[in-house]
Amino acid sequence: MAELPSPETIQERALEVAERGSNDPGADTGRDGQDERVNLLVGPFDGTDPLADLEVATDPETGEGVYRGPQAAQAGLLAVAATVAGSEEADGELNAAADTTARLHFPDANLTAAGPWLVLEPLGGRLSTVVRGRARVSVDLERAPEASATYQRLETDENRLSTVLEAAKPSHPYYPIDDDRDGVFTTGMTTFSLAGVETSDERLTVVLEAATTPATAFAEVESRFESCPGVEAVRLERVAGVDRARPSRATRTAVEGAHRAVLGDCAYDWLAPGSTLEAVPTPEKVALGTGEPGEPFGADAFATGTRLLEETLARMEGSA
Amino acid sequence: MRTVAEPVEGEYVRVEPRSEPGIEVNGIPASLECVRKADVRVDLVEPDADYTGDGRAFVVEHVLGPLRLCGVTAASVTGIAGEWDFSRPEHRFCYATTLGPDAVVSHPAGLPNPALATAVREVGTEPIDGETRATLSESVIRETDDGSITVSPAETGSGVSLDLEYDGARFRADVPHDGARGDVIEAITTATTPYLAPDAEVAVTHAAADVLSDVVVLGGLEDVRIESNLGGAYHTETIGVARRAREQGAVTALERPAADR
Repeated sequence: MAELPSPETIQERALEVAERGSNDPGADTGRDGQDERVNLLVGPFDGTDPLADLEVATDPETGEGVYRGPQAAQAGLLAVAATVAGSEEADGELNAAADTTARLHFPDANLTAAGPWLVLEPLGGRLSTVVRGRARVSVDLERAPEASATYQRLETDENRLSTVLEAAKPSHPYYPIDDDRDGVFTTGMTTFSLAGVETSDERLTVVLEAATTPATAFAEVESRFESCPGVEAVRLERVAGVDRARPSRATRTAVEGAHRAVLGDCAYDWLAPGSTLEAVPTPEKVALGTGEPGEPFGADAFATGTRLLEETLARMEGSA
Repeated sequence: MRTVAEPVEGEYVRVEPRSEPGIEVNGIPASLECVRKADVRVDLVEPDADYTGDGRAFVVEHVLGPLRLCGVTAASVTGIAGEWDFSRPEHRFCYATTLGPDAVVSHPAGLPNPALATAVREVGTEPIDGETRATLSESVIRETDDGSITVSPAETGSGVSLDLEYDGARFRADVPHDGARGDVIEAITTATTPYLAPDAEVAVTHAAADVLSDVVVLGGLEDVRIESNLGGAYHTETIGVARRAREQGAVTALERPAADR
């Protein structure tokens, strides 16, 4: 089993590899003179440091190393990217290919760089080309008159708030949505999470963050809440649409072939709103990676993630 | 070998007669060589496909099982779903590639296509040339942490006998090569998949369709006795035992249908 790089090594290696990649005079260039190397990007891409408060512990069940911390999966994937892209020892075809084709963007990214983009996300070995969209829903609720008894006013508030939150829950005629902690079904549904409640003397405003899909009908979202008791108004603000990449056949063939070779099959699912893949403007992009969001990142995830990326880069090099 | 007498439609699939032995789903042969995924569901992919856009048929057991229940062993199946249902993981998979919702050939409620079974029984089946009768020379067993399955030889022409257990519930049925009794077909095709089933009785009844799909249709084993105690993602076991039968060289008199060649 591969040994996990120390947090200090991850940072140092990633910076060194990114620096070398940005100055590589031997970079592959296409017929139009553009740099056509594969771009590697690891999230989060919001200024937070994936290595903050990261520690390497020992998994009591496996005895293997495991990253723990608030961004353990992203840190693990950064270790994967730095290890693969920075592999200088040409002790095999894969490493040689990785060294010439991959350009790691770290800590900043030139998002307009030419060439295909591989974005590492904690996808548990799946691929992704779709990021769900975002919207904000504000529901204004009339309050009982101020002159009411306090208990009556609070009871009315609570009942009306509860009704809105109940209306926000996903439901499905066939699938066990209430137990769907892994998002097997709800990943493809319009879902809501409570962002806050603003209060004034006259009204309560319930603010919900919505994760949208290509099938989300905004009129249906509004009508879902309009029928709740005490609703005065429903406002809906689109924050970001669904982002759907359209990688070329060559890129798909390479990443899918790599996943079949390493895992026996390839599978796709969708990413949560705001995922790093969304930040890359070109449609020539695909997300891949091991680990799960918010979970520790173990030596097995590191080893498999490394093999997947090495194999993918080798195949992209071969098809270039 | 029997095919449908006329084209029929069920939930999200159209089934047309085929003059050659074997079943194709969206142009992909229903054979072990094309099985790509076998755990919570079974998908088919052409072995030489470069990438998913070249074609993949999702959840094929829910169309192959009911067809075999009705005695259909030669047919061309085409997905006809025209609308996305993104709560289904398979539809999200397709949308993330270049496939449409018609790549998914199963009922959203996890049923082995009762409407298709009804439609096939209404139009009937008819024989075609290319009769094949495959059985085993010896019993083949596959065991996992979640369960076990044993497939044993049976007399030529006897069809399939099932004796299945799931979570303490038991289901037994005979499926002659020209199709099961109407009440058996109805019981199996209206039983939801174990993940969505209300109890073990329903789950084990549904499993009969999956076992027929995987062992009999995809495995090409036609005269066999199947005993199993299923659990977990049991397509690993049902496809696994069919593969093991071939690996052991236990399959006898198998004339591979044209769709396999």
